[in-house]
Amino acid sequence: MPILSRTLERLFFLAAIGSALLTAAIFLLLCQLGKPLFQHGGLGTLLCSPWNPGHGQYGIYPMIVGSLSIAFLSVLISFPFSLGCAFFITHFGPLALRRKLLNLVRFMTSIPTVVYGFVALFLLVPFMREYLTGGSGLNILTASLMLAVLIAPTMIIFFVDSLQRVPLSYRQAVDALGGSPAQQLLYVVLPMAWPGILNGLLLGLGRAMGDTLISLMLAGNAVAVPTAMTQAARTLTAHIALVMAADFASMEFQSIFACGIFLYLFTALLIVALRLVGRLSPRGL
Amino acid sequence: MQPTTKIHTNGLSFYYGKMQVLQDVSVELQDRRITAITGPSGSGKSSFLSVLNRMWTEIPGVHLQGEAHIRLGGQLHDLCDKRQPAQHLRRKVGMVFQTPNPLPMSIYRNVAFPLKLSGCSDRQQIAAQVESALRRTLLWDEVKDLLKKDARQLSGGQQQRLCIARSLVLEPEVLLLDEPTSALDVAASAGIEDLLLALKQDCTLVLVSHYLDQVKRLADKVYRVDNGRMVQL
Amino acid sequence: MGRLLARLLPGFSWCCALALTAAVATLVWFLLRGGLPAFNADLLFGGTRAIDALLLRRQVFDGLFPALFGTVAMVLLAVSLAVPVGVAAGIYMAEYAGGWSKHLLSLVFDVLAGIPSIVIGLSGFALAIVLHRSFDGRLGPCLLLSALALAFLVLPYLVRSTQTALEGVDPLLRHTALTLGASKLQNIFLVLLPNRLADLTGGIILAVGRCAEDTAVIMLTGVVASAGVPDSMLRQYEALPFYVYYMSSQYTGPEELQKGYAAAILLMIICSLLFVLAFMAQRRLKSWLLYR
Repeated sequence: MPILSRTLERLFFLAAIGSALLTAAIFLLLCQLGKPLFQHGGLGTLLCSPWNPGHGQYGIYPMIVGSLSIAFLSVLISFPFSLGCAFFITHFGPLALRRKLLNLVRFMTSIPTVVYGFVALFLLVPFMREYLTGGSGLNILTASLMLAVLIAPTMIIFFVDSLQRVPLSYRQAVDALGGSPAQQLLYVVLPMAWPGILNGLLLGLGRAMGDTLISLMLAGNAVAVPTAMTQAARTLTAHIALVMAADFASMEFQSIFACGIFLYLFTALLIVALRLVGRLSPRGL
Repeated sequence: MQPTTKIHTNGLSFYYGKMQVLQDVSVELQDRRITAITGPSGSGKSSFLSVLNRMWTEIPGVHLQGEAHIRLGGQLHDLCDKRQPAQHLRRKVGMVFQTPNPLPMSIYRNVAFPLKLSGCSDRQQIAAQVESALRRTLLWDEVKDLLKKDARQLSGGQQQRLCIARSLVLEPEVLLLDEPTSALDVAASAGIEDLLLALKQDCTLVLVSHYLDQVKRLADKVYRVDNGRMVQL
Repeated sequence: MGRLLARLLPGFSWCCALALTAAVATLVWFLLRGGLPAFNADLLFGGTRAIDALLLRRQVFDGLFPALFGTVAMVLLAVSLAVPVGVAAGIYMAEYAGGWSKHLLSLVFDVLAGIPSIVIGLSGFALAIVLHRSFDGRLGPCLLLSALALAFLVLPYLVRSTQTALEGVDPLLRHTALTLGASKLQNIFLVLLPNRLADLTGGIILAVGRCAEDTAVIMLTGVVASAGVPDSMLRQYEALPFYVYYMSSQYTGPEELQKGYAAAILLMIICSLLFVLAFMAQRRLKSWLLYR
């Protein structure tokens, strides 16, 4: 019996440590395979130079710009929208509808990304082409709009959670003083819930940055540095998916490891930022 | 330590993180007696109980200073040593909580659970011991036809007696009771009190309670905890 | 300013809620409109007899069956790889880890959970390259590689859901068995885990859903547009989400496009069923399993 339990406990430990080490191993593996690229030009050129394989330039700068602009734009669109939905669920909706909307939001998390992309390709893209952006309809704005829908459930669920965590007694105090739900929200709940809101915002940004399918299907995948929302762009994730077909040994192929490393580091920084936000205490009133 | 002394502490201090909960506690608890501990809530009564069945080792951040011993089956056990295994000790030092805590399983399986934990697999023996434990707590006649029912469907008083039966099934030498009646109504409390007096025959009971009349009715010896110190009344 | 905001806020909030509902309704309506006509006996099996296809006696060439089969096989493989490790690691995190090591480990798992799935797929692919180089074996992209990468993708979810499930046990219940002389392991396996079985199952089902919907990982690790039903784990395979993606750009006629719609509906049905199942598990399973 003691031998059995000792073995089991050791297995638990191994599972935890093993998974953690594998996480680190991913990073090392990416670095190892991307090494020829770093030797070729150094980190600075890699991050800042344009993508022009014909002239031996394998910089991922255009993809970084593409990823960041699509991610930030989608968060910019999704944030007020998600906040509005969260307010509906916690404060303004009729009681019968609040629960229904929350369940709808939960259901949205189960819709596969590729389905969002598929529908957008045949519904949103023609619309954008005809009425808003012209061109092919495949551009930053289209991708950001759809990505905004995709990341909304994540944000809404986090927002609702942090809004509801404000103690009931504080909320009742405002009600007892004759405050409207909106006043309660603005003067008591929001000031107390903002670390949670920020948390949801950062998580949404992470999801937007890490998404592959939406940008691959909707953003047009052009390798030039975009200068307007209505232009096509290629994200880091889409770049990885698109270049896979190329020859293993080519520099072109190795650039995807640079993309992988960039995304990995971005995630790690984001998680650390989330941890720091978690330490923030809500402001006193 | 006298042969009639069951539990003995000398200069015992209990720290929770940096906070000192108990300070320099030196007490002697006699065999087959009811010792009551009273005091304001949050004064460290429950912490003292957690020393006696070594549950303090399960709470992160707790450490002890001083001496505490318990005599089980004629042998002395050191309660302050974190490294000693706690399971055997806990089978001989039962505990009943303020809120009845039946496990989410049937009445029968609740009482049989400690036997299962100690590795007993003889079904007939288990059935016999379950019945005898339920009889000792005067619960048998009430539940003998409901043994397969979820234990949480019983009334509060019945649940508490079930929890006592569950502790008794291993025939413990010491029973720790942490305000066992404060979640119950008057009639149920009276039933539990009678039961405790009967158990005194073969058990050492340590009762935490802040009902002074209850303490007066039951206890052979009373300690009061105040500001982390324990004084005999 | 504040007063104006307080006036406008409820209206704005209603608009957002309506827009969200409209978006989901449009999505579902559009899919159904495009794909329902394709829902017939031929959708899954094409010209092949259903019984022949199910018994793997004959390959299906113009139906969704190989893609469905590939998805199911891949998910089962990935989840059976990930669940033991994930649950064990979760138990370690909740019951054994403490102090700085717990902080560090949970930071690492959070990072792992946040890594974009395409990067996980890329590392799966990189692993195949390294193995290829060092052993000269023929482990190219295949079903097994996809399953390994997917298992890694859902691992942090399983760890986290197990950990939070265990940590959510009421302290009184947590200590009950211990006071009755249970060892730590007995307490974990006889009280804590059974008590949280519903949450655990819910977490596992959600992990299944995550595996089933993922496209980015598998497109780097072995999925192809047409491979038929694979006869070994070391073969390339088809999968529903990839089929949807592929059809969206490579369809050759309205009939194929309609199949793309149908595949999207099928995938959505599978994922939402899993989701509902997880939802119900968290409510019902406990009473069903524990109070026999």
